[in-house]
Amino acid sequence: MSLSRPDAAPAKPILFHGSTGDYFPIWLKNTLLRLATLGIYGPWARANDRRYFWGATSLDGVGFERHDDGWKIFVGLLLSGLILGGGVMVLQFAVMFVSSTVPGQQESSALGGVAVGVSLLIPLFLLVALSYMYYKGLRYRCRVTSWRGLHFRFLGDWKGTALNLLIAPVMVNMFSMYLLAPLGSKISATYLVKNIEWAGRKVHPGDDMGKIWAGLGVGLLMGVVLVAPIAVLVGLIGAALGAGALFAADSMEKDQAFFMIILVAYGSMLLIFMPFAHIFLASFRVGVRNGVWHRAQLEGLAQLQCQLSPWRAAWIAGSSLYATLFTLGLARAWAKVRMWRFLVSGLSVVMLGDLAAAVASHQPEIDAIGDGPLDDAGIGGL
Amino acid sequence: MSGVDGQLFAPGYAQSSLARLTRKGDTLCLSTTAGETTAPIAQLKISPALGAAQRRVEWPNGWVFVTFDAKGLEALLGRAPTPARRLALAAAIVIGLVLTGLGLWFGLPAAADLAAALTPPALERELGAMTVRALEHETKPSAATEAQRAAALAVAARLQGDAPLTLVIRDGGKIGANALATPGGTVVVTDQLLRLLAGDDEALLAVLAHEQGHVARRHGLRVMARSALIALAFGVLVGDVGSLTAVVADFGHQIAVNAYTRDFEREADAFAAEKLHRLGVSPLALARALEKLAANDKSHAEPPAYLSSHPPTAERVAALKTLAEQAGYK
Repeated sequence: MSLSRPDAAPAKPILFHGSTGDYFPIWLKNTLLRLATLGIYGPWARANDRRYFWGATSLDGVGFERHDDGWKIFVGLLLSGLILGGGVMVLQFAVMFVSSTVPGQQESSALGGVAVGVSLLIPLFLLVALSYMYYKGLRYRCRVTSWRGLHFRFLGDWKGTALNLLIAPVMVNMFSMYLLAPLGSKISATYLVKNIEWAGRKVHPGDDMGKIWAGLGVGLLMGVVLVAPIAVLVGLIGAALGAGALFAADSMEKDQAFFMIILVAYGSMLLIFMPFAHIFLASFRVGVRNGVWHRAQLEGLAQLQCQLSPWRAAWIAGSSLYATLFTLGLARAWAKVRMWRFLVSGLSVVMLGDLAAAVASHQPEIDAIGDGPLDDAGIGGL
Repeated sequence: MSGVDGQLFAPGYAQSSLARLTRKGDTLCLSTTAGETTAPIAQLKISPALGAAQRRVEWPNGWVFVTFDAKGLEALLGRAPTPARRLALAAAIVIGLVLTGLGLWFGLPAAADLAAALTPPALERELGAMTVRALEHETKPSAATEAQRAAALAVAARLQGDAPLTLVIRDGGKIGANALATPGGTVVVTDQLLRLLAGDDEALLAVLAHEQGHVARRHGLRVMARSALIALAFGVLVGDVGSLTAVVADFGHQIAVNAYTRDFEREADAFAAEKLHRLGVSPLALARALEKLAANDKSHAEPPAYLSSHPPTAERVAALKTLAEQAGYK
């Protein structure tokens, strides 16, 4: 227990006012319209979701606000898709073109060199384009979020984003063979947090590597425990099929059984690994949140407390996954509400200064390019 | 007088004051300890209702009133849900479900076929050329003799008209006795198939007519378009869930695509039967070829019907026998 002054003031909890019954109609409308429009409604559904979850979350009696606009997300998705997809396609064609002009099987060293050079451009292009998208996406996410009428702002730039969100984690993971993955995640998360601004004040992130390691350990353990039932089930089905094949009367049935065994073996790789990754990541990400958000300070104004249980995170992710599968997706609304309520439940704020001093530092401007790539990378969230 | 309690913010300031919103005719009245102000409802920017989310009322001068009393605000604005509105909402949900179902069942294949129909033939030929290159990668150069090759080309020549047909002969290797139509009209047949059907030119003619059916009805392109749209639909269905559900969706996708390709196989069989009949050949020639292929492929069991891209051989043979009888063959 620290004896520093901030902990003496009472912490105000961040509260979630929503419920499954409340959210279900919103979710149903989103899902039906997405289906009916083959996904084109997606950006509007996303905007509705965010306005609901943030809008039903409050601190000190005032709700957070999201100002997402479906059209802007739509245009942003379109642009980022065109830039990322188009860029990679153009470069791939360039590589194909250069390699096909190399005569016959004989490698002309000059042209071969050009082909190699062009193909090296693809990762370079991806690095630059992705970091720009991430940077724009973070700016967007912050600017469309407000509390007490003041919008948040992201102060980072694209070079910092490239270095901290892409290059550093990849390097750390590569050289430590993923053994130091928590370090890479901490570098990224710290960069995100310290570049958030509200009312002209910066955030000073917390720094507790131990909590990130705890998230990792709990994630690995709970991943194994919660996936065990699937593994046992898959094993039993495999064994039953194997026995069936051994005792099958005619060769035709035997063949069918063997065919199914191969199918089960292939499916089980995915059936076991993917839920494991889902559960593990839930714990691990909570560990990262605890590590960088707990005791984070908004300069002179507030101190955040973030004490989420990685055990509960894994349990919620795992049980929600089973429920969603068994209800063919219907439990999805419940699962989303449950996860959001959990993430909010661990957050509280100690006010250090007077809100009278908090005034807007900027006018928000909004374009949503980069919002999609952020989602794909699992960055952001609460 | 009923009212709604909330907080009031000046633009750009985080400090708030408690405020109460009341209604007088077509205007709303905002009262704080500092005084009150009124504005016509039409001039206010009011955020739409969204469950328990905080509501926001923006005044013409930029001041913002927020409240968590969403129900109170709706009542104040005279929008509280009536039984008629609830009924309309329930009806909208049911209609939405039905329309979505119909759209997926009928609309999706129709949209995919439209996309295929709008695809320029040049692009289709290019897709076909890519497929042929991929197939050449999977197979080996043909070991057929010049005489075998000439005989096969002569059989193919009988089918000219209706749709382009360019024969390519390869050593099938792993894919064994097989014939594959690619978009644009190139049909790849394997040495193994020629050997299997040697001495029965009508059976080879029937197999090639079946493949020509795929080309004529642009099945390759239509499967691609349908597959892409189904993938999209499943992606939307399981949406942002990711991970495990993606696997389930992938499985569902394959089953749905298989249902389409089974339909296309039946269509190509019918095309071949009709074409054979015009050439004076019994549709039973195709049944013979199918049975020979099935017998040759005994080592591999037929998977359960829903997992297969082709209908069961027995079903196809039975259908061809019916067609042959209708056309007057014994």
